Amino acid sequence: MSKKKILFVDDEPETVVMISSRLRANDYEVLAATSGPESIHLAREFKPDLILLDIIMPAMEGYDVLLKLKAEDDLSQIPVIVLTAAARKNLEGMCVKAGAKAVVFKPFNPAELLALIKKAFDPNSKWRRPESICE
Amino acid sequence: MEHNSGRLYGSIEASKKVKISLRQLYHWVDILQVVTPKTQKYGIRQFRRFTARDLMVLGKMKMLIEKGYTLHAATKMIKNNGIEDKFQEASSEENHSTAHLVVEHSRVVEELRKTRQETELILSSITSILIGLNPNNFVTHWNASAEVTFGITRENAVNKPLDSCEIQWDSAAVLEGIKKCRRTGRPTRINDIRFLRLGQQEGFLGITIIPVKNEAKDRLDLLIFGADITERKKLEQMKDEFVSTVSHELRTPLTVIREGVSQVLDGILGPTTEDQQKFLAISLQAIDRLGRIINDLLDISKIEAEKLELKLDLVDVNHIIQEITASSSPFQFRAKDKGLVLKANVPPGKVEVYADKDKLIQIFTNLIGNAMKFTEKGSVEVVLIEQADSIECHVSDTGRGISQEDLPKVFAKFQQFGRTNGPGEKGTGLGLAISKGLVEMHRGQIWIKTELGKGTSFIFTIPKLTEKEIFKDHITKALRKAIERENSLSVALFEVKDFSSLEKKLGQEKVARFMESLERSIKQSLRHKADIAVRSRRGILVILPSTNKEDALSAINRMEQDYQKAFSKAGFSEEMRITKKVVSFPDDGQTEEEILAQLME
Repeated sequence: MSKKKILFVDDEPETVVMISSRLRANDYEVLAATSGPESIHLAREFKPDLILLDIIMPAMEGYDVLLKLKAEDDLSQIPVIVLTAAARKNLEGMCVKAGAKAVVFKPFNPAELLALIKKAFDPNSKWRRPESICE
Repeated sequence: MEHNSGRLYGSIEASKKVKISLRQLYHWVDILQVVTPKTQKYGIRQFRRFTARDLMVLGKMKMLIEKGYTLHAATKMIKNNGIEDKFQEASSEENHSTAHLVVEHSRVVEELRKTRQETELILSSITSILIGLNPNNFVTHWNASAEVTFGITRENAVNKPLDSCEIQWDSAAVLEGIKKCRRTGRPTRINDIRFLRLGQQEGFLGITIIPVKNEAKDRLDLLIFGADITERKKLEQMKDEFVSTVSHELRTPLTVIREGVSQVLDGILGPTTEDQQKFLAISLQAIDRLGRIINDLLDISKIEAEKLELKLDLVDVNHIIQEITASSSPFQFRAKDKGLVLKANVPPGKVEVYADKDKLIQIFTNLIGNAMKFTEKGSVEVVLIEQADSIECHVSDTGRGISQEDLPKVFAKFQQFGRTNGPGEKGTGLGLAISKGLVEMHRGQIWIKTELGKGTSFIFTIPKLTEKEIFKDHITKALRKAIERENSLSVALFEVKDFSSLEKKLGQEKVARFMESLERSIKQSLRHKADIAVRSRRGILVILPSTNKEDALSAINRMEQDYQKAFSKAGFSEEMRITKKVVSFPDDGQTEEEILAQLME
């Protein structure tokens, strides 16, 4: 079985480097984007199996990226896990309503993020309530 | 000598007061010029009021003459000795009281004048805005601060109706406040009124409208006190933003650092030597400690700002203690490392209170972690005692104890004493302050029993709330939000029919399991994050904010379908039936009492 492809979107290159490395170490293929338009482009081109999306980015807010992804037929089926350091209260509800599988608050525990990713690839998993993990 | 009363203003009154003839008065007045030098300035025969001092001089002169002094001798005596010091003892009763009255009168007049002056000074110089209104809402007062704040002069405001003054503020809100104040006759406070400072910059006012009774009882004068609270609001907002920015800005780089260190340590990036691993491990511990400090700081600032909201649920404290002290728990590992015994002493069965489970765990974690840090040998024991109206939790150690002088510092922030140098997690200096805050938010108490060299016990209590109290608590909170946001609110109650007889028939445990299953199913059926489901022993309260009755009924029906499915799967007895009730705000009830009464009738 080929490696699962994950698109990691975050405007901070340091975070991208670190998390990508962690994901690769866990046998995932990682594509990284550091801006909204770039992430849409990569999503169309590479058809990832999962998207990890940072919600606050310049130029295009991660939330707009989420709406755009969900509006495109080809991309709407890709599960999205939202990562955020924002403490905005209604953010979680907004993202889940817009189609995100889960919202993860930074700083997250990598082990828990990996567990969540595993769950996203498990066809039998249930996502009734918005899940959120944070330390 | 001219005897024209017009020329010597008040002379008749003066002569009456001192009880001498007018003729005598005029004769003396010539001499008075010598005695009271001021009179010369005006020319005594011309317009001049008799001052209190003049009258006193006259009174004294009369007294001296009556005693046999000549006019000249009396004048000389007054000139040399003055009047005030010896006047009183020398005066006859009559003259004394006259002079006293005169002095008193002029003192009162002077005081009134002073008070009036002071009042005007105060009114014009207070930094608060002050606007006076008569019963027809015409402006009667308009102080300097009002002039400055609104850029409207006193002349342009006084004697005009308030609404024609063209004040740039949310006049609808102000008028509503005025109406309310007139209706209730009570001081009315309105916060956050938008206004334009000097007609330019948007700001916020806080005003208090105070009713002032006048002759007509039902027609009140009003005083509006206002303060520009723009700066304060800005500060509050800045503090909130600061706290969340700190959390964001500190955590993001911390995550990167942690990941980097931990991946090198894990060997993801290649092999490392033992020494390198040792250093990285120490770094990782320090990073984690920094993360804990940030979290604790955020927690304590939220607790202090009363911004932390508890998610109250029926929680089994027994279960929490057992989990924390279970053989696989991190605390047991640490205890083994240190050669300590960590044990729990709890009553059998469930011990349930309404509490925030995560916060309760945080309290235990802090207290147990603290106890283990300061205990070198022996044990750390967690004891749970159930009382009629509360639970009491003890975390006791056989450590070094706390000295009398350190005791007051125990719950203070950043007060670490008796630091340990051994391995293990370093503290943040905030754990006990947070624990105390969390216990008190649960309306409990926390205290210490300690003996130097023998050990320390931290004891805290959490009161047991009744079903009604906890439901009311939840409804009150939700209702306050609904009113604030002008939203609707629906509340539903699911209850097990014939609860008591069912419990007798099937046993408490079975019914409790049924309730848990119901709770689980309902919680899974909730659609919005703000929706809440709270379980009591015999019922489940569901709170649906911003939901009107119609939507609430369809949501309740959906929940019913969900739990019926779950029940048939679990094979629960047909005898267990559930009654449901929905009450909506504002249609069915306006206050928490009304809503609660309809729900639990």
